[in-house]
Amino acid sequence: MLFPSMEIETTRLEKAVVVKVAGRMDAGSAPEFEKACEDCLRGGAERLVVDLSALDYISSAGLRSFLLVAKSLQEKGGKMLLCGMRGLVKEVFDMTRISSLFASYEGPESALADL
Amino acid sequence: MGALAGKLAATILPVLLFLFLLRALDSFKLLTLGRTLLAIGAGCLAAAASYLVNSAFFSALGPAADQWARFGAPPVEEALKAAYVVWLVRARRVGFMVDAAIAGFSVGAGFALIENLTYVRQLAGSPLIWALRGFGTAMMHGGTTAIFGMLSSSRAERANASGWRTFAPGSLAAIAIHTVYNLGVAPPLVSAVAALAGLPPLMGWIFLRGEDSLRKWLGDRLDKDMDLLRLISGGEFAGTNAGKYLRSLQASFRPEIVADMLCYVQLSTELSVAAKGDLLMREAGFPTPPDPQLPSKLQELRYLERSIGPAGRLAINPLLPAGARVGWEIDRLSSGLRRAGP
Repeated sequence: MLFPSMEIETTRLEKAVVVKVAGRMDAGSAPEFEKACEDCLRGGAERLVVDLSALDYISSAGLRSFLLVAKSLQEKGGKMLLCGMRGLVKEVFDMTRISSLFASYEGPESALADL
Repeated sequence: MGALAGKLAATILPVLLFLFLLRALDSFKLLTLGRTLLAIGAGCLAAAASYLVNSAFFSALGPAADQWARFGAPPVEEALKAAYVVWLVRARRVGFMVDAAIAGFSVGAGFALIENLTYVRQLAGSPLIWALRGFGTAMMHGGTTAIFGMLSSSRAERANASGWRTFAPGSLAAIAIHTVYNLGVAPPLVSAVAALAGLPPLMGWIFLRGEDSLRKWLGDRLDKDMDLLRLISGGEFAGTNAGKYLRSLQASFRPEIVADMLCYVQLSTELSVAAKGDLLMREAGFPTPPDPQLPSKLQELRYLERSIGPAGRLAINPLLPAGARVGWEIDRLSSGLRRAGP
């Protein structure tokens, strides 16, 4: 494999589930992110804090996954918060204006404090 | 009065219901309600014009009027219905088979509405006849113009052109279907059932394929657009083939024009990315937020277009990532801005 695959780590906290994604979220790995989030939703989570500080790349497939998960959460009355957006990933979210749909924070702590 | 209302409902409701279904199937909400209504209005005008043309021929031909109804009326009516769709495709107001299909079907629905209004006053008839007009003739009018729109839009995109060749296959298909319908080779009930059973599934199939290809285009192009912007903002663009091509234009254009060309490529790509983000959000069912910077970006784009001039724009066309759809994307953003108001 040319690029390191994406790694996902979920931490269930009292207020929310923190989903930390690292590496590259592309057409091949985006479904993993969707599945991990759907598992959290099935497990009763209504708030997801997605930590993007270690995500190096995101393609349109990744953006689509974010939107699908956010829509599922919204339909259940929950919400998705993003934190740690930087560099290229931040640029992609800002350029497509998809960032305007999400509350964005420096890190998971500040996102959790706002819940 | 009640019977008249019943006749009208039987003739126009099926086609309006199918139009509503098409709009509901469009995950990307490509055609706004305003533009759908405009297309219906264009269809009404086309019907009024074809009524005048057909009436003149019917009077002039006398006993041979039947032949005009079979062979003359279909090309005239299809040409008049097609006129608005041709303008939409040429002006990049539709960008995909999906919105072209909805626009075309809307034109046909408007045409059928006026045509049936005319007949409802002139002809008596049982409810069956009027149901046939609704299910058969009206669906045929909507279907033929939708097929014309889909084929023309698809060809305009593939060939990046909008000359007569772009519209010829769609015109021929629409005229052929219409002529066969008018020939009355089958009894009216069979023709109506054939139109109802054949056209909607055919259109639905093409429509769903169009949505799939739009989804694929959206993903592929968005990634390419982002790559291009990364190269430009990272200062690596000059080393690419596209950058070398742009530099080669210095032989034909003044340096400040070449600089404006690079700005144009960057800005139109940024707008293209924003339009694709808009589509992604719509697909997921989110409302698209207004962009406060959009008016100034569009203003700057117009300035750059004037600065570069037509020859310059032609020269940098290969560098524009969305190709023929840049115009459509910018129109889409602009119309969103108009809807949002000042």
